[in-house]
Amino acid sequence: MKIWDNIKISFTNLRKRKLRTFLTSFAIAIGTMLIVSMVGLGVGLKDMVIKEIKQQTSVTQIYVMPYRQMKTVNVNLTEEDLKKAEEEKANSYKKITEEDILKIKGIAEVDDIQSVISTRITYTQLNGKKSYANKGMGFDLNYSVFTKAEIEKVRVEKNDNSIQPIIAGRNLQKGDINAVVVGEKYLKAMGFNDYNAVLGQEIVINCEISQFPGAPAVTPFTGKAVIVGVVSEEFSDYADSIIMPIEMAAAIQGYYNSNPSYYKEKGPDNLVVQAKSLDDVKKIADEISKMDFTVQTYQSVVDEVNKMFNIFEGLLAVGGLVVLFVASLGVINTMIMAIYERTRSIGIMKAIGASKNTIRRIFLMESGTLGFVGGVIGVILGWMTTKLLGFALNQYLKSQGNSAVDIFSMPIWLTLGGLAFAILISVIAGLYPAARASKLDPIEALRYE
Amino acid sequence: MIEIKNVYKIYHMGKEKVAALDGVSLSIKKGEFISIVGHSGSGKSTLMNMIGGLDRPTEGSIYVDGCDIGKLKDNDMAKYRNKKVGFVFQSFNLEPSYTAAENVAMPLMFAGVGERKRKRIANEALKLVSLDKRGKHKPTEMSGGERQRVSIARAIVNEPEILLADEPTGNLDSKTRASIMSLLRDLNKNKGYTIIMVTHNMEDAQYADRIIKLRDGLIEGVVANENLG
Repeated sequence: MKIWDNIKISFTNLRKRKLRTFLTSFAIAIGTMLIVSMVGLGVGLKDMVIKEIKQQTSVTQIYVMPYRQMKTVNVNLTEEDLKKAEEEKANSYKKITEEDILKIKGIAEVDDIQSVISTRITYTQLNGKKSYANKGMGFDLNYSVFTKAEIEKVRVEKNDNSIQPIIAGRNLQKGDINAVVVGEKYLKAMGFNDYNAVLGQEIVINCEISQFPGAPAVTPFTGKAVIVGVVSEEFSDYADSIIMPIEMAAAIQGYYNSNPSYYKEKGPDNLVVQAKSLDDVKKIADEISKMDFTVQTYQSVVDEVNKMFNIFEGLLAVGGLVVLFVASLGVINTMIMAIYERTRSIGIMKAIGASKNTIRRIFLMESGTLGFVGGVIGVILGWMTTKLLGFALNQYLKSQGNSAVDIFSMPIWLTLGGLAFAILISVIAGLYPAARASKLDPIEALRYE
Repeated sequence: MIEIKNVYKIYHMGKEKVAALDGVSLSIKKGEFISIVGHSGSGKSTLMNMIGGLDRPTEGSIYVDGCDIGKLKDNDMAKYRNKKVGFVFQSFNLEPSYTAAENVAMPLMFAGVGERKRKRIANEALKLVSLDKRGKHKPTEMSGGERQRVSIARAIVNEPEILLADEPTGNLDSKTRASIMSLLRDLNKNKGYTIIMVTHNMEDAQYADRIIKLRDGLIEGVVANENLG
């Protein structure tokens, strides 16, 4: 028998008993609706949280620390253990060399790279004004200062594609020596509002080591540089900092550590490696781990969130599953009723040449069709439910002065999956009745009144 | 063509054994018209169901064109019923929700024939039973005689070699009965169908070439019909 005939027969048979077909498939529809809308809620919430994480932190970033891979971590926090841990940390220091950076940059999935030394400045002087406790950020100008991903992130966050990191003057360039870029917030705090006016001005950077009484006096560090640009305050990581070539930051760190060849010995504090996409993060992190550096990513956070929500979705789907299970009992009942009604017809079909398989297929197709009808209704109901609830929620949020959210998600896999699941459950429910129908003795069946 | 060799059919009724067929041997030639007569419980329907592949002998064999059909697998048995034999029932056994043409086409559907071809063949079969104008009607809109013609058309649609008729006129009045019987006779004489008919109407039995009398699961007598030329 051709599959098309099989489908036609089942629709014809189900049409003969419209009310029963409707009631049976409506039970399936409710189960499907619950599964689709509940999983939709789970998926929507997950997407929302992950989007939030992606906005908060650069999930595509990989931080490379100048330490070997930590082997064992002692959890007994005795004083000795702590001492040992300190020692181990000191012993495990591994300078990130120029070659290392080039090697990492050479990994195909790496989009961009920053080589950074962070430092603190005791006070800065600009145009006769003083500002205390500033943050200094040194960048290796052979690599990036602002990565594409950082700029993109701010643009997505502010929903403005024209945002640029530098709002006056220019960015630091390869070859700059005594040049700095300053943050907008830093300038505002000092009372400068005309950013173009500060360009070309000299900034004095002063660093001091706290003096203990009786200890030999250490001469303060003083550096001078020219301001070449201003960073927009939208870039919050940079907005209150003095951004300088890495050599300058290294000189300050060298002063604090009383080590004039600090940079040569220690290298950068860390690298920020930008992956081309979230999927590449793990591969790059593995690659760098092989070079025996300590690596930090946000991938694990995203993984954890994913895992949590998968459990959550599962819990939400359980309600729908229970309803579908009950609905499947309805399918079994309906199909067994159909066998009683059509016993004679089964006998005729067998007498004129339908095999056991054909009879089984006819009944399985029929129960599958019940599932299909129920699944379609369920998916439509589920879709309407999520739209309605989403609309009501957003109306409420708006009335409370909040911005709208999208907590229901109805991806195509969920729609098709819900439908497929309804069909599957019904076909499984039809297995027993179909087997029973196929096993009917044709002679008995033909005698049946 | 059909060789029935020492066939038994034994049913267990509780602890008792009942023999519906108690050692029947019979051979039927191609193109023969046989009627099987006997009281109810004589085993005539059991014998016919076995020839039709709806039942299997407890013992003995039935050879059709040299093939022991009692030993066929379920699937092959279904194919045998589909291609080799056609059933005509006393109560017509048509699907009430299908049209006459759809009813006739059903065996073709199980044979995997496509819809368009099915329609064409079904209409030809309906023409053979002079019902080509009634193909779109449902059985409920037809008279008993017409229904039996539809049922006969369904039996021959796959061009089987053997027609099995189980009291085909049992539900018909005497006028229609004669027309159905002459249709069967015509199919036998002009189209070459081998026909095996179960009846307890001796008038109908006279249409056959041979009359087999069954009693208590045994052949009581075989009468060659000399009334027919």
